Amino acid sequence: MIELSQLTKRYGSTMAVDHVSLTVQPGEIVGLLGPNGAGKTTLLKMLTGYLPPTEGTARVANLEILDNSLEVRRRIGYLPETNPLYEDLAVYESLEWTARLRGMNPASHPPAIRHVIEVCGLAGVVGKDVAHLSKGYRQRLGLAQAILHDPEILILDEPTSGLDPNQQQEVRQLIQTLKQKKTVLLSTHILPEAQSSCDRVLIIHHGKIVADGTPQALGQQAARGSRLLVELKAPAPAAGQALAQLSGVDRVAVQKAYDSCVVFILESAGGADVREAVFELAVQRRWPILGMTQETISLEEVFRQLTMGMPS
Amino acid sequence: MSFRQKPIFVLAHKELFTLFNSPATYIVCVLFLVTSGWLFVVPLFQFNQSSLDTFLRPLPLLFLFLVPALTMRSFAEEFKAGTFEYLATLPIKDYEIVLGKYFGALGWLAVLLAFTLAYPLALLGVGRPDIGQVTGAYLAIFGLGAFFTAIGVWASALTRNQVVAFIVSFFVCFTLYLIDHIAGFVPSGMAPWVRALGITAHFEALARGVIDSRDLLYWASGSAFFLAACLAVLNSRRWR
Repeated sequence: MIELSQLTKRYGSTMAVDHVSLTVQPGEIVGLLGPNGAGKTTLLKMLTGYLPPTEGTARVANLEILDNSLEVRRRIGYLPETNPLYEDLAVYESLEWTARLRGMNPASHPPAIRHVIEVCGLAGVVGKDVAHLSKGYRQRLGLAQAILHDPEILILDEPTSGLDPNQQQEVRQLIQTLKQKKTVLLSTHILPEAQSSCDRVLIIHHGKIVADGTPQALGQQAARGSRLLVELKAPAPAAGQALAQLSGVDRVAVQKAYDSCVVFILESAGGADVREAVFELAVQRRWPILGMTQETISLEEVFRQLTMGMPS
Repeated sequence: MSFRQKPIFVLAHKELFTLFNSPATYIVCVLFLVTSGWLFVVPLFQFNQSSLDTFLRPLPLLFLFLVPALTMRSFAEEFKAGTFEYLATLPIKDYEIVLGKYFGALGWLAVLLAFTLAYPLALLGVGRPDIGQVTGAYLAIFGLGAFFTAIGVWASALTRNQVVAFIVSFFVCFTLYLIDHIAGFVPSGMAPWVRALGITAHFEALARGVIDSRDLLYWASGSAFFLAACLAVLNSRRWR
């Protein structure tokens, strides 16, 4: 379980993480979404004990991160954004050093290493030097190092960053296999990744959580924001007034007017489908419909709206 | 937890392993052994002198280059490669990281110095060297090496650039080497204090075979000071 209360990190006058409070339940996979510089990495670095918070508290596995930093680090598996690896070591050596540095029981090293080699698909490159690994294998090795000690909490910073689509899919599948046993907090700026891998998505912007919900809930939020583009041959003021009075229509705006035609944007409240009502109104008033297009706001657009339109 | 499982030992082992894997280390060490060997052998054959003096006297000067070259990658390389974040998020205390790095570099220096034991052994073959003096000399060499290694590890924690780490480390070691010569220019009341800060007096006293606890304390406290400074530098990086 991860609990943050008013967690804040300031770099001089820059607020990197701004009073963030949230709870991640055991067994949950939570995606931290946000544009570059939103504060995702800083937030994760505070949870791993790498950076101290300026204000607020955080508890990981029921332990206060500042008071029990060592124990917290024992319970966490962490894949940093840059996935730093020792280039001069071979894959097996890297895992062996990790096991030793983590203070794991020497008798448990070979089975634990064999297990992560199998889970992460590293069998083909065990003897290879890290310096000669492809980006995909490097990411797998980073993940293998993070899960070697079978941590209850996994913190993954951009786990698929820089990978090609096939490699991204492989890493996502790997995260799915870990899902049953672990609490996972991962950061990403790839929306489909958050949608496919996470039970819950948090959108962070300028260090603040601006949206929090399951991918389905955010999808519904997107559906609620559906828009209808209607092109009518009609007098603009009268048509606008009539359309605004239709049940389910939240807002009407004129996108453009030309000759005796107008293009209206209708925003519907609660995701209501108003196409039929518009059609009936047009027939009743004898306003020829030149075009009608339903636009559904995608999760990407919700993300864009939340992260682009906000003041810093 | 056995000693071999202690993080300091594991890190020192890892550091030693990294140094053993680096070609640059071998180049530096071969240069040192060739130079020190030449300094020892030439007087032995040219002037029939069976003494360690010709090897010992210029040793602080050799160490000014050798030790910073051995320690410059210690933290600087970790910062540059980003692996310090990996290390710092493992369940290891900061002081264990510093000591692990320190003992690793010191271990390599000890291996290197073990090769130079060939010189006193060679003297045993051709004469009767003073065992007390040889013991004192090696204590002096090791003390000096331990002190310079602490300075090198500290300098390496200041930057992600190995060359900068080398220059800072060299500059501090060189200042400590020169300070003895500066003592002549300061007011007479201050001169003993200034001289006590430099390495020369402590090195020469031990190298003569005079084992004085004050000299041993100098190496130990000097090393502890720079290791504590290194720890402070690591802590300050986190609070930036």
